[in-house]
Amino acid sequence: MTVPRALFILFLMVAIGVAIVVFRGESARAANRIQQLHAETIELEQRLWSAEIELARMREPRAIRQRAADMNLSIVPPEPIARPRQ
Amino acid sequence: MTRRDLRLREHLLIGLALLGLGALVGRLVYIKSFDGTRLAAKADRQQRADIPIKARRGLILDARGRIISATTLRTSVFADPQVLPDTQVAAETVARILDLDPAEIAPDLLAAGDRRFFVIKRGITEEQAEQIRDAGIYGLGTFSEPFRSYPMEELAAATIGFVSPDGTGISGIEHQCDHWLRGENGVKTIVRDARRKAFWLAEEGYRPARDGYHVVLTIDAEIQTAVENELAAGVARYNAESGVAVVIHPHTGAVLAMANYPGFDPNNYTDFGEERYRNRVITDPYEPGSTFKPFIAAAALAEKVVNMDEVFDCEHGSWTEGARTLKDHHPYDFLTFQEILIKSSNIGMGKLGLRLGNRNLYEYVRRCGFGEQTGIGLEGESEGLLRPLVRWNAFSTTSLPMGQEIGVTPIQLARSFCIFANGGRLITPYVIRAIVDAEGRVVQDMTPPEHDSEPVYPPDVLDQMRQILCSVVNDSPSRSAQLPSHQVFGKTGTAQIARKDGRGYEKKAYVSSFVAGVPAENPELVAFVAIRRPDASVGYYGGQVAAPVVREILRHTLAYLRIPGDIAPNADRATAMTEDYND
Repeated sequence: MTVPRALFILFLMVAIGVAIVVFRGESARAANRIQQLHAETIELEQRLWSAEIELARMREPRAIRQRAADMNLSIVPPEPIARPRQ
Repeated sequence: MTRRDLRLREHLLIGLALLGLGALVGRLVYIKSFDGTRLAAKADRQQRADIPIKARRGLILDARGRIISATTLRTSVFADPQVLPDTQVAAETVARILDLDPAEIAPDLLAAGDRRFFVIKRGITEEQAEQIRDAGIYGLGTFSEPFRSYPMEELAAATIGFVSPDGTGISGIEHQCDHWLRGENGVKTIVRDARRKAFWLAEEGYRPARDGYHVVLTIDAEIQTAVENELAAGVARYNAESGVAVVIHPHTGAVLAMANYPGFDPNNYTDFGEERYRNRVITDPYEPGSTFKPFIAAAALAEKVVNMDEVFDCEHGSWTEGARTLKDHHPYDFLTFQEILIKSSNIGMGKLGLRLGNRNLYEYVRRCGFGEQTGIGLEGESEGLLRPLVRWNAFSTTSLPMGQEIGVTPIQLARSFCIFANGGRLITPYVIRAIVDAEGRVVQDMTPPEHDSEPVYPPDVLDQMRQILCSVVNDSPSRSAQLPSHQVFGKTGTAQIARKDGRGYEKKAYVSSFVAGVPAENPELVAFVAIRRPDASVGYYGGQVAAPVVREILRHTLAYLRIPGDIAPNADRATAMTEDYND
């Protein structure tokens, strides 16, 4: 084993080690990003659920009547369907 | 230094380096072989955690997909009493942000003892949550938790029910369909850093949650709202104790509305007494009184013990048969069979009962579905009260035809009245239409299967009865159930309330009721209203108290469902629909 050869082997080992560390770092960053996306998904789901509840409140028949009354509007009833002339 | 010395030194250095590497490798091999498992487990415990992914509880939807019950997330604030640097400071900070009294919070925090997770307040706003996070007090934090919400508040509350604080259904459909609504929790494995903060979602440890299925009802929120509004108005108008109402589609049995008044708000169910939670439409039998008469009159026609034009002596309002004296609310002398129903003569019905006899009475009462559950599939349904035939006596023969000595629930009466609206079939009412998944695919169809059973009464009897019941509506003094374009057929009831000790009836205590179908030519709706203990000094007759409520319910529902009229609009009957629609 000559010194240059030993140095070369040492350099190789360090390079592999650095590559492993870099790869691990990238993996950790990717996994962390997945975790963040997961948390964002949960947050978006939370907002979706709240929006659903809000929509449900707006679709409630009493609420519709109240909003119409607040806007001084009347709910036009459907025309009564008369018996056809015979 | 000779070349030999240099080479020796070189070999020594390399040897030492190799020895060092060898020692390192040897140590690694030792750790891996002998201590690896223990250390890996320790690292796992420190770094990894299994976090449950809570499944979202399913929705409860009305017939048109409107949300009646849903789960949302709310933010709550918690503390870890063991790591709080200063309990008093934490309490004051939280109190200031949440606009509470610190004296309410500090003692609870101190009393929390060894607990690592103590909820200070549930359901705070996002702004408050932000302020708490910005306060930066170690041991104080916020978290999201699922929370059941009822955006339509009291709507059909007794039918829908409510959940416990941990999200388990404990009443009504929430309880009954809990296994459908609950879903299955998932789990995720996270890897934490040194600060215990999750930074890695372990791939192999992820199982998504399966959210709960949705329950679709036959109840329509628009119809239910109209029913609840009219019922509340009717109860208030006569200072009554309570009221119930139900609207059914007579051909399918789909329950379009089912109301109890007074009700409660399931968002704050603890603010109301437990008696409000009962769905009295299915749980509480009562003596139906005159609303029961059509079933006996039809039986008399079917058994041919009477014909339509036969005249009966109604004894001028008082008739003694054996040990029993029957009275009419108005004295009548001679009434035809039809008039017995139109005028609601107890004496006339008593005489019909004698002609039928106990055995026939019992058979027809059973064929009409009384004395058994309707099969509506809701928890807590009563069978009503019907004594076995062996326990009937001579009193029964004249009591039953006028709706006494029997207890029926509102759903039983409405369901049985559908016989007159659908060609004689005894339908099975139902409230739950289907269980669906998040994509709307049907997981379970809950519609009762159709069964071909013989009509309870022959077709000609049904036609005759419907004619008579139209006359009940058209020829009554107040005509309080008439509609301008739709012919209503129905029967009023003014039943006394039996004393709890079983000794007769309470004075001036009534259940005022009305059951009706519409349109008479091709019925699409059956509605029933019963109002309990109206103020007798204001009014108590069924035609006065309950019939107008049914009329308004039917008017709203017919317009909403666009059901065509079956009679020419009559100016005498017409009410101003525009004005009334905007009440």
